[in-house]
Amino acid sequence: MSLAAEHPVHDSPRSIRWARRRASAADAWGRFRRDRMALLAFAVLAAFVLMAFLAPFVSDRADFSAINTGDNPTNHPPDGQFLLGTDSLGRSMALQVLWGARVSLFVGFAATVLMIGIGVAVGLAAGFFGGWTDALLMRITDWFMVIPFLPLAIVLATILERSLTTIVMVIGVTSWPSTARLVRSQVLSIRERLYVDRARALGAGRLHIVGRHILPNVTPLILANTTLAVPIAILTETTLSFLGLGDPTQVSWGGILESVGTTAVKAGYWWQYLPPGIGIVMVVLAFTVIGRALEAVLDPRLRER
Amino acid sequence: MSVLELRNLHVTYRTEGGLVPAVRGVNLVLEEGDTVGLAGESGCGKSTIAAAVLRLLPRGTEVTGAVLLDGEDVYSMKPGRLRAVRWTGAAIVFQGALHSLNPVRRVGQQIEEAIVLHSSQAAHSAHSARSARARVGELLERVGIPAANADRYPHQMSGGQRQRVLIALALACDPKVLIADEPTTALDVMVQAQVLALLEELQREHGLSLLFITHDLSVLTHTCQRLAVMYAGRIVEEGSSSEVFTHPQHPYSRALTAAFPTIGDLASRMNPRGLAGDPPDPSALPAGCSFHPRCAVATPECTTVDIALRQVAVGRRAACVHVGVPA
Amino acid sequence: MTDTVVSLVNVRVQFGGGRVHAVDTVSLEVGRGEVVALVGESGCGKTTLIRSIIGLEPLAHGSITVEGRPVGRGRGLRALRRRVQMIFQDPSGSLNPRHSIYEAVAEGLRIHKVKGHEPTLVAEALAAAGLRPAERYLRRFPHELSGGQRQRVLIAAAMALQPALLLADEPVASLDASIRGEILALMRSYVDTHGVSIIAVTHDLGLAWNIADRVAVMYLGRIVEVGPAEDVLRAPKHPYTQALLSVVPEIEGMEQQILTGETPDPSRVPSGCRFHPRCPLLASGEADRLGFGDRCRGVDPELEPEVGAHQVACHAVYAALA
Repeated sequence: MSLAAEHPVHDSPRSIRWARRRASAADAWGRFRRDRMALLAFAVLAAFVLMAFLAPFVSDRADFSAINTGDNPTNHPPDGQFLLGTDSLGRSMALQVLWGARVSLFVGFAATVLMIGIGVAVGLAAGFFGGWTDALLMRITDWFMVIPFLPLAIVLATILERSLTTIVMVIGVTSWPSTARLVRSQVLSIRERLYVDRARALGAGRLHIVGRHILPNVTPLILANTTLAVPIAILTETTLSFLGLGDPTQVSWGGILESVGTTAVKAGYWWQYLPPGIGIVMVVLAFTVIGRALEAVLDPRLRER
Repeated sequence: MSVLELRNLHVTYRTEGGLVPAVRGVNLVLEEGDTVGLAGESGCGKSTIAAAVLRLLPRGTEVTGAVLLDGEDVYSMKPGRLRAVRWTGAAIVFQGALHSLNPVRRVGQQIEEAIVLHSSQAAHSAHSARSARARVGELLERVGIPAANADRYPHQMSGGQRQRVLIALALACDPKVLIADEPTTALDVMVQAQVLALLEELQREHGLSLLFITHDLSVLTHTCQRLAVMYAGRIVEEGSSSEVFTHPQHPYSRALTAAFPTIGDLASRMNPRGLAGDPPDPSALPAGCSFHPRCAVATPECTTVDIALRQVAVGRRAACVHVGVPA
Repeated sequence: MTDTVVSLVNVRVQFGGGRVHAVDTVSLEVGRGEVVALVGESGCGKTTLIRSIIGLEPLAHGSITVEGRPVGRGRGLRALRRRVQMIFQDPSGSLNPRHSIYEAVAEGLRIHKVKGHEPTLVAEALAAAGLRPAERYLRRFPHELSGGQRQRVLIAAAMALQPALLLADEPVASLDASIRGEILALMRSYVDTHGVSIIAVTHDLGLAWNIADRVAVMYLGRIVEVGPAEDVLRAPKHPYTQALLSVVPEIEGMEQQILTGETPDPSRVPSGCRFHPRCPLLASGEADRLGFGDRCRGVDPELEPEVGAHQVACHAVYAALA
């Protein structure tokens, strides 16, 4: 009886791969679940995302136009009609916070995607190819790293047309260096591993090595890094909007803070500055907690093997 | 009186996965000037014994039985006495010298540290520093390293030299017992021979008692008078080293000796012999005789009854149902 | 004509811009179904040599041909790596911890687009390597297996490609003593069933006695003695081989000759015979008494064929022949 007949294999390689992925995802989720703080953070984040999603269903932009708000009481504290009061133009604070969530989250995610995209590409190329490519890319990275962020952001936001796209670009283009360095050092360390040598000895080409060995080992790091990058992007957007560099046609939490200004603080209109402020803090905290939990779940597993 | 005695020693580690019995009832006696070898593979508990002698086990580890250094139970010693005894009563030469030496301190300083820690408090500090340095130079020369090398860092030395430094370090306080835990693994064959020759010389000169722990059985036959083979936390065979090596009684010892073929012996030419299976996981030991899953001559009794050491001849014991008579 | 699987001619491999002569003019031939043990201490260049056979180290000089085709660079390398496979020194490090055993074995099959039902090929390879029933291992991960099992997986993965030559770097050095024999027996079994040739790099002479047809002894980048295993291991001619064998604990009937000094550094190769600073014949004065001492210090001896296949690079041996 041939060896093949003696050892029938009932699984296709695909099913084995998916089984493995399911198992490792289930394992990661199990560990994540045990972290109470992370679960709470996850719930908070989900709530905000829901808020952002629901905004256009609950109201529309017309609610902010002068025509509709002209009759509203101005600087009115929270009551039955206006859950979070109104601002100096009679616009509902609750609706502003709701819409603001959309912008903050959108910019946060989009800028992060850009930042991670550039960072990973540069880090991978520098780490994998080495030599002149590495040297050149690292000098470029250093250059971007050294430029003081806020002045650059201000300059860019001033020269370019003020829109959400600009903000996303500004944040993305100035924040990628740290991701690039992280990815590069991880790629360098994986490249030296014996199993990469073995893959080469098996006859693997560069693409195979990058795709099957380097990327899978870099991805968890990127994931954890991404989760921590989002709050940074959100805070940056808030800062820019607060400084008046944001998109004037959009409602964002930073923008709200800018428009209510110090007047609200001096007059004691807490419903005008506290809600967006708390919103920012909660979203940023939630992402940070999740990011840390993800790191703990993903990295030690790599290290112990 | 014996210099080192292990009496019914049991060591159980506390881990996340539960209790792991690493040593399960080991009896061993070292008289003055004795050289005893402890042979075994991963998971057999031999390194645990080395750490147990000087109470270097992780906190929370359960130790029962007795470890007697010169008649004194190490585990009943007060911390002050223990510190005094460590290194002066017994010293350990570790394996993997690159990890055992502090990479950012010069080797001379590290040996000096040991001397100074144990020197009498009354001595004047400048004088004792000078004499400590002189002693360091002496020790290094004794192990075949020029005294000037005391200023070197570990990474500036070769593997063989580092191992010698560890030996010098172990001898710094003139211990009675030297425990060598895999001192020559990872060294080249020629360097290994040099280090072994050095150990033998020092042992003779100082009248040291030597407990030599290794997985390489053949090394022990040259360096040690007596030999004990460990498996799954127990001693499964003991006797004079030449006897155990040439006429092993326990099936495991037989397999271990066969793993190191004698060059020139036609029986092993093109005939590599090994054991099926793997050394057992201490946290999941088989019932009965822990060796039975891999044993070619196991009987049904072996799966249920754990065999204790039985007398084969004078000074010769093996824990197998097929040999000898119950001790 | 003997069927030669790999032929090295005057191979030189250098590091550090020519400073370190890791492999310094080595010529060797391995026939089909032959097992050659490449023995020597650290720094002698044996690992570098087999890495250059599989194209992981560039040659500074000389040529290597595998089954008649030269080992070059670029595209030819992939075809070469179908016929030559390597097992590295550390079984744990050699397996990507995130890949299942199935994927570890299938990797080579996929790279070379081997025809056939992949799961069956993988299972067959694992079973042939002694991991049965193969199905039980497919979904496991490296950290769930013991050292010996990992080594079997690596052997299975290498042999799944049915190479003509298997290069093994210290195949059992990191494994427990009781299972070494099993792994060595497994390697020999492939020679019988697949006709594969093996070059096993090791410092362990007992391993050579166990499985090798021929033994080549390397010192500082050069082969100093080569011949049938029984001859080299039982009647060594080169003083280095003699000293090495004398200190192996598993030898009988030889007086220990412990060489002084450290294992030499390949960035500082002595003049003349590279072994001369440590050679007992020179140290005892015998070489000078017999008249070839100066040659040892000044002239680098070559491997010269004697009667038969047992070759030595040593002035003392030539002098005795003359």
